Amino acid sequence: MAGLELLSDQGYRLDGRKATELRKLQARMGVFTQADGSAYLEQGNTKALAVVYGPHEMRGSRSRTLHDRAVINCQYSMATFSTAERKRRPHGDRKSTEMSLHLKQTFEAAVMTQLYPRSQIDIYVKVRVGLTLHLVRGIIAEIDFFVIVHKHVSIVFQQILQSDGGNYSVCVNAATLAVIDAGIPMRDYVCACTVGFVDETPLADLCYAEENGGVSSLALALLPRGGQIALLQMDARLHQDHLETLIEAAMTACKGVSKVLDEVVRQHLQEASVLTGE
Amino acid sequence: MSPMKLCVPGDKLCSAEDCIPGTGVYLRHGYIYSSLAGYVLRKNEGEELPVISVVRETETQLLPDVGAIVTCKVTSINPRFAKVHILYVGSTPLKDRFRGTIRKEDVRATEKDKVETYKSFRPGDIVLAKVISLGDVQSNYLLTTAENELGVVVAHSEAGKYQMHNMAIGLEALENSSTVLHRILAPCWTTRWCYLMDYLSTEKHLLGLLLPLEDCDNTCEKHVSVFF
Repeated sequence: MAGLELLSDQGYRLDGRKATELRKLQARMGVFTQADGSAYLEQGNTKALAVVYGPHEMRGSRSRTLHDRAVINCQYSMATFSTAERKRRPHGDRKSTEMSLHLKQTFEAAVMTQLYPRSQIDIYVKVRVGLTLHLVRGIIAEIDFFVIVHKHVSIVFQQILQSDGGNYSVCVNAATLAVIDAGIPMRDYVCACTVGFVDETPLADLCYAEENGGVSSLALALLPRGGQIALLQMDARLHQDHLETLIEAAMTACKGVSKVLDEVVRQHLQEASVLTGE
Repeated sequence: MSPMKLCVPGDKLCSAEDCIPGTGVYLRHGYIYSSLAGYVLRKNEGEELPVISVVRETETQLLPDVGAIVTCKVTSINPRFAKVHILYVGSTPLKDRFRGTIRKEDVRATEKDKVETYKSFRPGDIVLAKVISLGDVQSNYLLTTAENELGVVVAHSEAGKYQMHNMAIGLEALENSSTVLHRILAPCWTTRWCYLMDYLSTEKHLLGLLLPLEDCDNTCEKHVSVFF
């Protein structure tokens, strides 16, 4: 293909990163005061908002209650303006349902659900692009179904960009921060990263162009300290000799993500302690 | 206050031989790890090993556990049981209401088969109860009021006039007031009957009459003495 070279001869990718370099990760916890826990995370141009409610009594179908642990209910949705083509159904379509199921499996591995029998924990993640949360005093804005009651938050629309790849990973990272913010006990952080394989080289943290450019991509969710894999997902063709290398690269990338998330959590704790005067 | 150490989920705190795990931590392969993002607290219980736990500034959602004293509000009654909404666990308010059931047999400890739920509870009563079981898939939390300190604490009579108070509080308020005669209501636990009492603060006497709550109004005349 003319023009788009996923990995140049000097080792640079489409957006100028090196093969093992991650995108810029910024996050903020405690964004919504009305939810039990919330977090906003940006990885490159993909932005996700995660909100956690719980644990509370089982809602909806009581027959799904588990007698010895909590049920984790995840919902993933994309903002209608977030992709290049405006999505008609933000959630309920196959891709969202599959993503929700993966998120549920990932968090069931990490959250200590046996401490909350017969209850339910809700995790809602929304991926949106072209929107940045600015902390500006005194403006209350309403967007989609989120009513923002935190009086210091306003929503500013930027120009619409394309949904920029690595949706699952960004969701998992955002949801981890939200669960920590809610105070729900977890064994460890859950960090996720999408990696791809091009020209015998693993590329860490794929963006949209790379994902759709015919790269075999693999998404991995890891509990970094123990090195335990919570979820591994791949639906492309890859030679089995390369699998080992790819998983290694994914684990390294996840550990990099976990360092950043750790920083964010510690800083949030420090800020909170300063406010409460401890 | 000495600066406490920050920790995040997954941090290794210490070995299981040095401390006993408390809340907010978990045990794995002989080491104690944190499961919350917060501060590490080490408490010396006195006996052998200190208890290590992780605390946050804001308390997370508490779930009613077996043996916990809960405050609940009656929502509906039935000849066999009363359904309640659990509002507080201990002294912590819950963000969401949990549902509970008080069976007829669990209303009081004596004369269990002579209990009439209609006479013991009405919708809207606030009840102090204890959790005896988490229940199974079909049922809610099972609660009991068959102990000395448990039962109806606040109730409204049909006329809407009288409200039952905690007996000790009522008496304290009277000790401090200057007027001579007060008519107070003191609840008889586990039922909606109450003592309509005249309190003479000069003599510190309580003359009381046991009445069902509905009949408590100003026209009550008979008095009997009550011994404390």
